[in-house]
Parts: sequence; C-alpha cells; structure tokens
Amino acid sequence: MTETANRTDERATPACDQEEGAAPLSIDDLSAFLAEFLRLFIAAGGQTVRVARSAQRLGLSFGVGVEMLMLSRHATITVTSLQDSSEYRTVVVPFQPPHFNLSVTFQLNRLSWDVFDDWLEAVGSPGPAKEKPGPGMADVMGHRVPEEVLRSGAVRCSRTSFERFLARLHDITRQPRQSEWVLCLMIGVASASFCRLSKGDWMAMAIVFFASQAAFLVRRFLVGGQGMDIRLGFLAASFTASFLSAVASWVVPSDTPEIAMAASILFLVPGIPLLSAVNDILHGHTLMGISRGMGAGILTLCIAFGLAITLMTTGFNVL
Amino acid sequence: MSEFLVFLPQDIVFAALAGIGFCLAANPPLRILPLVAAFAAFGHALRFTLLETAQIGISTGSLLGGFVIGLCSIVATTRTRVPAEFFAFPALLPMIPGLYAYKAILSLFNFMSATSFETKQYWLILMADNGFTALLVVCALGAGALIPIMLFQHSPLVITALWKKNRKRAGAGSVGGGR
Repeated sequence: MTETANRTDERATPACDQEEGAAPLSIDDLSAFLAEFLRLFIAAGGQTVRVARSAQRLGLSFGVGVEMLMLSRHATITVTSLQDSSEYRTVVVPFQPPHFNLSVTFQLNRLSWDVFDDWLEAVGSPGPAKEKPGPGMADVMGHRVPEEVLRSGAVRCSRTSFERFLARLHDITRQPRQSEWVLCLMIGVASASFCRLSKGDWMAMAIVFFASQAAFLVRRFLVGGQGMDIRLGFLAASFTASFLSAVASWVVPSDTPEIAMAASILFLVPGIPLLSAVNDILHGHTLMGISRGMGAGILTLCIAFGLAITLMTTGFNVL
Repeated sequence: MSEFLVFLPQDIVFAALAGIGFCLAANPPLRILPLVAAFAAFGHALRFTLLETAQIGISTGSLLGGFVIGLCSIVATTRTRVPAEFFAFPALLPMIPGLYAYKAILSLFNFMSATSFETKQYWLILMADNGFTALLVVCALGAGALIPIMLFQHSPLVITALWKKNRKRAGAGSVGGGR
C-alpha cells in the first residue's frame, strides 16, 4: 500500500473503519447486495442509465468492479474485487415485469449516493472536482479521490454500515403506496381534465370522470386482486370505460361522446414506460429501450382492442 | 384568436390537473408534485399556444414543449437534489399522444376489414398519418426533454454557476443527473 492510501486510512471515520472482531465483507455479501439492488431498481422501472450508474457507484464504495450485461428479462453482473482480481462472482438477476414506482427509484438512487458519501469520507476526498482534479487525484462522479485508493480498492465499506445499508435496501420496498382511493379520485380528475384538453364539453367531462374511475377499479380488481394477466386486465378495463361512456352518452346529452370514450381510457396508456424507452435508446441502452417500448406498445394495442370492441357493439365512431 | 385566449387559462389548469393525476399513478415522492404540475401546465400551454397561433405542427410543438420542460427540470434539480427525470417525465405525461395511437390501431382494424381498393387506401393513409404522429410525438417529447438534461449532465456549466449559491451542499457535481 502506498503512502497516499495509508494516510487516507488513518483519516478514516469510525463509520467506515474496519472494526476489530467483525468478519470482513466477503465478495458474496457484496455481490448479493448489488444483485438485489439491481433487481429492485429495474422492477421499479428505473432508467437504465441511472441503474447502471448507481451500481457503479455502489461498486466503487465496496471496493469492487462491477460489469453488467442487461437484457430484457435478465441481467448478468460480474463483481470483481479490486484488491484481488482472482476473487470474483457472476450473478444472473431475473427481472420482474416493471411496475413503475418513482418513490422506490428515488430512494434507491439516494441510497447509492449515501453509500458513496460514506466512502468519500473514508477515503478523505478533499471535495468536489472543479475543473481539473489535480495531480494524483481522479475525478469520480464529480468528486476528487486519490488515484491510488481508486486503483487498489483498499478502502471498503465497513461491516456495520453495510448491515445498515442492507436493512435500508430491504425497507425501501416495504413502504406503503399512496391510498388507492385518493389515486382513484385523482385518476378521474386527470382523465376529465384530459377530456377538456381535447375539446370535450362539460357533460363529457362528467362522463369521463366516472368511467375512468370504473376502469381503474376494474383493472385493480383483475390485475391486483385476481392476478390476471396484465394485458387482459388492460383490455377489460379499456372496454369497461369506453362502454360505460357510450351508454352514458345515450342517457345524458353530450355533444362529444367520441371524445369522452377516448379520454376515459387515456390514463391506461403507459406514458412513463414509453418515455423511458426513448431515454434508454438515446443513452445507448438500445435493447432495454426496445423491450420497454415493445411492452408499452403491446399494452397500447390491448387498450385499443378494448375500445374497438365497444365501437363494434355500440356503433360509435371515434375516427 | 379570441377563442384561443378564452381556452388558454383552461388549458393551463387542466394540464396541471392531468399532470398531477397521471404522475400519482407512478407513486412519486409527494414533494415533487407541485413542480410537476407547474411544468406540465407550462409545457402543455406552450405547445397549445404554438399550435394555435404559430403554424407549427404537433411534433415540432412537442419537441419545444419537451425542451422547455427539460430546462425547467434542470433548474429544479439544482435546488431540490431530485434528479431531473423525476420532474421531466411525469410533466410530459399530459402531452403523450394516446389519441393518435388509438386512431392508428383502429384504422388498422378498419383497413383489414375494408374490401374495396379505395376504402383500403383511405384507412391505410389514416393509419400511417396517426401512427407516425404518435411515434414522432413520443420521440420528440423524450428527445426534447433529454437534450437539456444530457447537455448539463456532469458539466459545471452556466446553470451550475448561476445556482451555486443555492446549492445545499458542495459536491452536487452532476447537475442533470442530480443526486
């Protein structure tokens, strides 16, 4: 170990110090943590670039190199110790179909930064990199870090803080989502607003308000409660909403029943997956982008199928 | 023109409501909601204004709307330490071209069931028109929002200097990426 590394070791804070008695972190612990992190992040619909960067950050803080290969249903990560390159693990992580959850991705990103901050303190980083990091210093994610520490991976997260971070990782997914009833109400409001944005009249807005809530409840019951296939659930929800709108526009006078039918199912369109697909492709994660875009496209197709069934049975024409 | 001025306030209000509602479905951290609503309203109203007054097509309008939302998100990032895409993507949701996508797919069904050459031609053109519009608008929204985010990522540029005093901690090096 060189002088730089020694000096930084002495400056290490208690949080990241190697305690006496506790078993040092093995490569198995670290790769298991990284695999779980990756699995949760993708399952919550994180942007692939952000997932990759967060995993790199965690790897640095753990003193390991992380190489990833991400495909639509699996990722392969190889975790190699920087101190001893003969020590490595390869883990295949299966992905669940993504269920977009911004709170979870936000907290996972924050967690990776907190682990990284801990490590920065331990290596004695003199602060953020301005223009050039200076001699003997490397620019790591905008922070100056002694090059020697970076290469040797001598400073690792301690056992106690690792356990703390692991507990936090498991806590993140256990947090409750928002109240379903508030969400249901807001879906109604948002869809009615959308109806107005596409020049529907006030009566159409009222129809959309109730029809979209019905669709939300149908989808929640079928997909969430009965565990039905998500595509069939979307089809059923779309049919329910558009059919209710069609029936309602026979009862209440609305000049724009077609707009009501189209707007009542717009909340089903997977907007964030579509935008994530564009984001992934523009960042060079083309395969992830295409698979996300394809999933979103199939859902859109199913929603249009539901609408088409309504149009065939009721004789309206949206086009 | 007067009709446009009457509808503009409604557009702002309803775009904000739609932004909040669609964003809530993705279970966001609640503190980002006010800004998401503001950005959604701003972007949508901008696109609406361009479409109504300035002979600009919907895909170009979406590109500009997305670009403005991306810029706003960058500024919000430097103050809140929430990554830019957490503002930008939910705020873009009211502009997602769902209607065009449905119309394209329904035209496809009609095209398949049509019998005469003329009707087939009609539905084919309608399908291509709506389908390309939907595709281009989604790409324009995503790319428009990402251009400013990618430009200012990892680079201590103008905006960083501009907002330096407000940054809670030294070291938020990646502006666009946030922390």
